[in-house]
Amino acid sequence: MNALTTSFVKRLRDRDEAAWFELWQDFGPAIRFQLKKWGRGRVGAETVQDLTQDTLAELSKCIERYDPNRGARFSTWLLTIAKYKLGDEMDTRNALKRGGGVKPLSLDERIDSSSSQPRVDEIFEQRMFGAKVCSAIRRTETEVDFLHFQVWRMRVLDNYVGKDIASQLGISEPTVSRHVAKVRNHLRETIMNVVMQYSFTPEEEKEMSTFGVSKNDTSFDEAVCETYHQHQLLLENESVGD
Amino acid sequence: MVTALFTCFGTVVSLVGAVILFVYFIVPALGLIFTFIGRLFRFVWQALRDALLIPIALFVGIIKMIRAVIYVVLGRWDEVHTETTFAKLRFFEAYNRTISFCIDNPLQLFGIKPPNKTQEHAVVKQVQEFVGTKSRPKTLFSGYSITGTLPSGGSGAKLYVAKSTDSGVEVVIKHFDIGSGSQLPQIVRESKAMECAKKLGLIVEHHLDDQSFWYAMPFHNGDHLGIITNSLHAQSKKLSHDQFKTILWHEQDLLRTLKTYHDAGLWHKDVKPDNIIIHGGSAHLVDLGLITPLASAMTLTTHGTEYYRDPELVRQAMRGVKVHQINGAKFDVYGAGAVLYFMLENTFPAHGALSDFNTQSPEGLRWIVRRAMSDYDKRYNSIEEMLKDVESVLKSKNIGSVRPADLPSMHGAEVAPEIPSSTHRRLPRSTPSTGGGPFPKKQHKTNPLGLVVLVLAVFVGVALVTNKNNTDQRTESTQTVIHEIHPPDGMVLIINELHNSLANNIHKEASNKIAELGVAGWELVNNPEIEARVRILLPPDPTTSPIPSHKLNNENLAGVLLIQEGTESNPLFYFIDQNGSRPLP
Repeated sequence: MNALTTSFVKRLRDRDEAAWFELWQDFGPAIRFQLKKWGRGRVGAETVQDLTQDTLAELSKCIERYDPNRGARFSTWLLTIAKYKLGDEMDTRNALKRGGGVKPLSLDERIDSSSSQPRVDEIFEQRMFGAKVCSAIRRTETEVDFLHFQVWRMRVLDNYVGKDIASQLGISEPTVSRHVAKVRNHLRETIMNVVMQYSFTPEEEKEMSTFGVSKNDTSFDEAVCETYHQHQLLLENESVGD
Repeated sequence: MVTALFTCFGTVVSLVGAVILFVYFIVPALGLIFTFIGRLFRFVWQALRDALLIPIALFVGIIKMIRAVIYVVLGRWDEVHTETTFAKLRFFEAYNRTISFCIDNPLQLFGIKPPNKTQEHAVVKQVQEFVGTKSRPKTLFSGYSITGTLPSGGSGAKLYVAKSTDSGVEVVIKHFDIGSGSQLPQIVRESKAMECAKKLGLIVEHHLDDQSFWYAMPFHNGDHLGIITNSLHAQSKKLSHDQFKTILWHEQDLLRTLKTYHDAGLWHKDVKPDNIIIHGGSAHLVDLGLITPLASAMTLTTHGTEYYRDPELVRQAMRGVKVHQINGAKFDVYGAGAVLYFMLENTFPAHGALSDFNTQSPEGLRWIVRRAMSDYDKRYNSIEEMLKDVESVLKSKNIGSVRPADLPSMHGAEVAPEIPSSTHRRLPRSTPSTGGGPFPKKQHKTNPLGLVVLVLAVFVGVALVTNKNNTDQRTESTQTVIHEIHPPDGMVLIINELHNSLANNIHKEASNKIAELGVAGWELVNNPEIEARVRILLPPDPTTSPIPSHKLNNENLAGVLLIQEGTESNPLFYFIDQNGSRPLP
């Protein structure tokens, strides 16, 4: 694990409430979505919420036993715990029907067993990455000047042209470009940090290059815009589903 | 003689035989016959009774269900509950009687007792008792007669619409009853909030006894903002100038109300569309259950409603920050921004400050929403500042053309918050913010005196900027120094040696510094018992000597924050741990 991941894991192990909240804010929606998908209507919104909370709480506990040599991705790790929690819930519900008393498999057993390991599909991976990018945007928003961020937002996320932004905000076009560039550079760095923080494997760390952090400004802006809007849509759909 | 004896013996035997026959055969047989006749009579009676009562119970049950549906339509929730309970009882009775009629009674005719008969009676009795206690509390609130009910909120209290028997004024009564499941801590919290609301004249009357607590508030007979917004958006896909005006009037009402709260040193804490009632063309903020004094020494709680509650509030509450250590009014600003977003988009801001706008709306209004919902130390400093922006948009002839650059807050016309700044500290953030202004106004004409003015402006500007920079540097240097001190890894005990006779401002300065350290992440404790034990352990000159680590470990402390009086009667702060003593700036 890299230094950023290690320090975040340490915060989780130290029961740092802020780290827990960060995890909840960043990945809660993606896990909720996956649990709903697996639940196929058998688990209600409240249970999904509880299971998501349990998943993240379990993560902070079992992270102490995490062995980097086994090479599990962060997303796989989260997904496995989520599946384990959902399995537990279904076992409890069906206990009486099946005669009960059968101890469910331990988390480690489930992770080791290839048959029980959930298939991390592409959509979930996309959602996880979307969550990381949105987390980086949120962090950038808190770290840069309000005006600079709004200019960047109007330019990149809302697709305004520089001239319109300048007219709306009463500033010059070169100033718009300057603000956009400043926030872009900050966001590039933040995305790298966030991805590193939540990367357990070198493979995950490489996601940044696939995403286009090192690409030219236009490609980077387009990638951020697309990921942000996709994630926004997921949040909206998820909220409507509740 | 022998014959006589035989005769006598025969008579005795016959008599004994007759007695035995009578006692053991005839009497039981007669008993059985009479019992059967009795059971037959009872069976006939029960069958007749059940045959008559089953359709009656079903009929009454159906009537009750119909009444329940009518009450659902009328929104009389407590009546719905009572009616459905009655209906349940009647259907249960019909079921029981059917079972008796078909199975139990015929079995009883042959002397077979049906199982659980007593249990069923107990259930019926229980339900009857329950229903018996559900009589309408018409006389519960002296001086008021109940005219209706409202859906209960998250507190679990019952809400009644009532009319004053004296003045005829309609009020809403919020009623907590321990017998109905209200918890004492809830009642205590609500009574505290009510005390605050009383300051604003929002409480008509209140009453507290051993079992219950209620208070009456003015009743606003109207729909909540959620319904109004839905109907606004249902009229057309694109909001018109007049619809934007309506939205802004509601927002203006909300902001003015919040301003009165903040001016009174309170914050509402649960600003959301459901808590805003539109009545007589005005927006009224209701639900006083979470009102909190801004200067409260209580720990911040996460109460509120998701999507309308600032995530920063949750983060700070999880860190155990006290209410007076943050500016609660700023969380109301966030809520007001989220409400404006809701009115413009007809949906809640699912993505917080990053929520997208999908409905066409003026960029000026979007800017107000984003500014209100932005990061804690970047958003409007006060409700008044936000109100000025909203009012400036309202005044414009064409709302659709209002640019962010036209807003007063963008020209540096910031309104100083009326809450004393010393009691509210900025949360620790790395980058200072300009808050989006000031920006130059667009110049459309060239003034011939422009050059002269420009030169003068440069001189004045340089002077102002230099002065401002000095001030900023001063402020920033204090902030930086505070943040440079890394919070110790564990609890720090406060030992305050400032004498009571010292001036108030010195004590205030000390408590401000403590609050500042608390916000910077220091886990400060103030415990006289630990203090008594630690004072014994302190070295002769604690301001220069360390405290042995094992002694600190025994008390689970990371160090001690010693506050002493300086030479100029100002408070001096020392952090002492196993490494020695360090003065704090």
